[in-house]
Formats: sequence, structure tokens, C-alpha cells
Amino acid sequence: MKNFIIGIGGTGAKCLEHLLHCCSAGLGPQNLWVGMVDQDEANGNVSRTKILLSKYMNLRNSLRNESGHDLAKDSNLFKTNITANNDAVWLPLKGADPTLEEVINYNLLKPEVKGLMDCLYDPDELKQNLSEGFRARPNIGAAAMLATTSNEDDPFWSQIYKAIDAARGGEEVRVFIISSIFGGTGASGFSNIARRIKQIQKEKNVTSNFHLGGALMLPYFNYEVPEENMEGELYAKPEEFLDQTKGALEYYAKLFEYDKIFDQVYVTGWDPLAKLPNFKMGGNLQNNPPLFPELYGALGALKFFSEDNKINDTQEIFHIGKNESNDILWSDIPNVSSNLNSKDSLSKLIRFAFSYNWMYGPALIGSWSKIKKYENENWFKRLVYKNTYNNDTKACEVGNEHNQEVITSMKEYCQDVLTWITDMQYSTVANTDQKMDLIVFDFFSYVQAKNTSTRVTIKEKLNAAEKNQFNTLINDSKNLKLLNIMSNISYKKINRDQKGLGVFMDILFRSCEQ
Amino acid sequence: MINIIRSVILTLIGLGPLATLSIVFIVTMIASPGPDASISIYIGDNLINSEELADAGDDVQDVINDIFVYLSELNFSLLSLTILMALGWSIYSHYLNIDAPGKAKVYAIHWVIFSGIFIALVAGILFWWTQSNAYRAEQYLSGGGKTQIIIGSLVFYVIMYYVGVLLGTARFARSSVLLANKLPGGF
Repeated sequence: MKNFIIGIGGTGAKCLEHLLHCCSAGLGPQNLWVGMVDQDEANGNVSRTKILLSKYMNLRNSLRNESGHDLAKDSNLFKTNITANNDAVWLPLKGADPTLEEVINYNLLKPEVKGLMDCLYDPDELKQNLSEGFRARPNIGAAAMLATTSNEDDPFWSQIYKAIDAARGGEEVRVFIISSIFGGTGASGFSNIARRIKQIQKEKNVTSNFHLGGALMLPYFNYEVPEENMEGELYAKPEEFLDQTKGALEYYAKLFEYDKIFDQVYVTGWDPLAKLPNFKMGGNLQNNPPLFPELYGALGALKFFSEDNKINDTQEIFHIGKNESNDILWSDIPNVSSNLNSKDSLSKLIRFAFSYNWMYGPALIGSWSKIKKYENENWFKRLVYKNTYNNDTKACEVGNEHNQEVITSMKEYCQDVLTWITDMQYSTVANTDQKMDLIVFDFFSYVQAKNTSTRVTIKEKLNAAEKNQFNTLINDSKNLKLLNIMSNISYKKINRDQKGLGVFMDILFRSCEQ
Repeated sequence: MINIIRSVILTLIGLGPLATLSIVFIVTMIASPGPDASISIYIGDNLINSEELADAGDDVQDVINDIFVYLSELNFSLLSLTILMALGWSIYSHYLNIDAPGKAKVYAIHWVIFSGIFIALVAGILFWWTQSNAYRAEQYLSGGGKTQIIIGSLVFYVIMYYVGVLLGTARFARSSVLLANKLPGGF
């Protein structure tokens, strides 16, 4: 089965961030192609996801290499083989500082068409610089996207063509689109890209094996817009989100009534809305925190890709949102399938990130002269020494550059995981009556809500008392201590296909469950 | 729990060879070997104070059964203690708070204290058996015989205990036991 996911706009990119972490926890399908669509290429959220995607792919390639480090097929760590184009982001409008006027060649239009455009767009909208996205104007985004050609030569669209060709060849293909319903890029791209894909499917006469799913994020956050310097600016106004959503839902209701575009649609909403402290119109400063509802979008996508998910001929619409209570718990996170427990997998990943970042990663970083003090410890001897020993040089090569690169990359990734979960838990409920009790983070991180670039800072070192709080890290009844992790890594059975540092990484990951 | 059971089994394997010898010895003592048996001759020649017995008008054969009972009970006590202490350490090692790389060495002090307690208990039992009047057979033993019993038993049971804990200590705690971290990683 081939799987494709497209995250549209800032929300789409943020949902992909959650999805990537879910995939590293083992909740994803075997393979997945990831693409993003955003006119605001420098957008902080898109950049963050691009960097994370790149880290995921590099780390997975390093740790799933049969001739080097190999986690082996059965390992759930970085299970999903994620691929992407060289540039994972598709910009609907190419060129520097495009405007809608230029895109539709406004000045060359016949007077009657010009008149029509004048009815649909005011002069500000026609002249708006679109290099930072469509500023919550789906009418602009829709025109811009429809004006661009989606041909087979375009690296982004060529993947869609290939997917449809694969379906024609008899392979099961699933494509999933995630976006918000209330923004600019997402709201305009969701239906237009879906309809374009369906159109290609029809042109290629593919009637089976091809399934299209989507996740629509209803409003789930807002922010305060500063009053100064905003006159004449086009930007996403939170007070318009609900009206935009109402209009969009009415549109989709009609669309779905007459045309089966999607096989499955996952709709997520949230009340009360999360309150973001920072407003930025676009660009790299628009770096919003990961929020819990986006995890629902990501899990919807993973459920869609799950082999247990039997897609039937009728168009199915699933919806999910906050429960009645203001407490958000692990039990609010749905499972991907009957055999993929989201809570177990994510909590395992978080424990792995903690124990790697502060306990085992630091022991493995550095030259051999620094590392060798552990050479007689069982975990090191069994999992690292033996598997990084070079028979030719008669030496353990864990301190060599190529191994150190993998070890430090994993440490960076673990910090990303801890930052992600901390930021999500903090930002979803900050300044609201809600309470999220997934993890306890105050002993290993600092949160500075106003600082967009480094909202969450993970402590470089923990003292003994802080390390001892590991058993309270995840709010569950397991009470797993660092001692249990040490015990587990000393006894867990090594899969015989595992090689190099893949042995240690997988055993540590598996050791983080009880 | 499965790791603890594994440790218990390995401890018993470690204790096995010497414990078997000890059990054979105890059973032999209980079975009262005849006067011509080499063990009887050895005890008569090396452990019993024959001259004092002769002065009292007794000979070795009159007291040897008391010596057999004495030695069987002494060894039973030492064997029980060794098994209990070796198993105790092996189980306890799983609960040592070794939660970070490099921390196992810190717990070597625990092992030294635990082992010191074991040696003290063995020495105490031996002292009680050989230096007090609690057992009638003690009066028939020569000074050299008592020394042989003390040194021989101490060495024998300390080695038995060491081999037991060497194999049975939790893998992650091996750096706390002398030379245990030299064992292969997968063992």
C-alpha cells in the first residue's frame, strides 16, 4: 500500500509535526510520502516541520541501513519510511512577491472579466503581496491555486500522478489532506487540491484502489491582534474565523452532497479555543506552538492509513473534539487501530526521549577515551561495544565521527520530542480553564510563553532529584523508574537482524515500556 | 520479576558445585561412616585430640559419632547461611538504584558491606561452634583440628558465596561485584 499526505498551510504543517512524532513512535504506516503546500514558504511553522521532516528522514536512513546501523524490520522506532521531494513544500505561486493581479494577468483581461474580478476582489486584495501566504483570504488562495497548473512535470504534482498510476497498476493508494477550514492557504487549498486530485483520477480513468481522505480543522485557537500599525493590512482576523468556518461548512455540505470527493473526512474542533500570546502576520516569526487538536488531525490521518481501516463506497465523516470535562487526559487520545495504542506508543517515545537525552546519550557522546569508562558495564558491553567493534582495527568505534553523528542527531531529535510535548501541553491550555495532564514537565524544562523562537527550553543537565522524577513524567499508573529502564536494557532480547547502534536505540526504546 | 528468577537460577548454578560437595559431606556425616572409612580416619588423625581422649580412658571410636553430628550440623548451618546470603544479594541487586550509566560502581560499597556481614556471620558461627561449650563434641577437637575447621569452612563457604553472587548479581549491577563485570555481556 502506498500512502501520501499533504499538509496545507500553517495548520497542515503543524499537524504534520504531530504526525512525524507519531510515526517515530511506531504509529504510522510502513511507508508515507509527505508534502506541504504553503505560499508562505518562510512561515515559522512550515520551516519547523521541514526541519523535523529532514531530521526524521536522515535519522531513519542512518538507523535503517542494513550495512550499517539497523533497527531491523520489527522495530517500531522510526517505523514509517517517510519520503519527500527535495523541497517538501509546494508554492502555488512561484516568483518573488507575487500578487493576485499578476497571477491572473489582470491588466490583460477583457473589460467584462475585469469587472467580474473587481466584484470578487477589492483593490487591496488584488495588489496584496502573496509571498507570506493568502492572509486568511480563501477567495484569493482559491483563485491563485486554480490559476497555477498542476502538471506532471511539477515535482509536487508528479507524485500525485505517480500515486494514481500506481492505483491503476493495481496497488492500493491512499492520499490524505490536512488543513484548517478557517485560514487562507488551508481553506482555499483543501477543496481545490482535493478536487484537482479527483479530476486527475477521472482523467486517468482510475476507479478502484485509490482512496482520498482529509482532515479539516475547525477553529481551535485564537490570538489578540495588536491595534497599532495594523491599519490597511490584510491578515487573519480571529473574530472572522467562526463566520468563515460556517460559510465553509455550508459549502462542504453542498459539495459532499452532490460529489463524493473524499472517502473519509475527519473533522476536529475545540471549545474553548486555545489562546496564543503572539500574533504575527506571516513569515518566519509566525511560529505557533503545537496544539492538542492538531494531534487529532494527525491521528485521523494515521487511522486512515491503517491497514485495519476498511474503506467502503460511502463517504464517511468522523468528528472529534474536546470532551465535556476541562481535563485533557491520555484517555482522550484515540487509538490508531485495534493493535496500535496511541497512548502506549507516545508515552514510550517520551520516556525514550528523556532517558536518551539525559541518561544514555551523554554517556555515548565524545571520543573513545571519554566513553571507555563504561566499557565494562553490561548495557554498554552488550548493546554498544559489541555492535560498534571493528574486527579489522580491533577497536570499538563508537567514538568515531560517523557513529557520533547518529548519536548526536538522536539527542537533538529527543530534545525535539520533549519540546513538542511540553509546548503542546502548555500552549493548549494556557490562559484557559482547561487542564492538560499528559506529562509533568516543570522539572526538566522552562516555558517562556512570549518568546516565539524558544518558547520551551529543555534543561541541559538535570540534578539527581530531577532525574528521580522520571517516574512521574507520564501521568499514568505505570510508575516506571529509570532503574527499570536500566534493568530492561540489560535484559531485553536483541533481535538478530539488528546491527550497529540500531541495537542500542531499539532496545532502549523497547525498554521504555513496562 | 523474570529477571529476578533468572538471577536466582544463576545463583543456584553458581552455588551448585560447592554446595553439592557440602551436601555430600553432610549426608555422609549423618550416615555415620564406619571406622575404616577414610573420612573417619582423617577426622581421627587430624581433628580429634587423641591424647586427651586416651588420658580420659576413651578412644576415637567412642566420640566419633558425636563429631559426625557436630560437623553435619555445623556445615548445614553454614550452607544454609551461604545460600540465603547469596540469594539475598542476587535479589537485592535488582533493587539497587542503579539508574544511570556509571552508577553501578558506587554500589560496590553495598556489596563489600553485605559480603563483610556474610563473612562475619560465618566467622561467628564457626567461633560459636569451636570456641564455646555449646556442643559437647567441641571438647574432643584438637587446636589444630579447630583451626582446620575454621579456615577450611571459611574459605570454602566464602568461595561458594562469591561464585553464587558472581553469576547471580543483576546484570546492571555487576560493576559493584568484584570481577563480575568481566563476564560476557549476554550472560
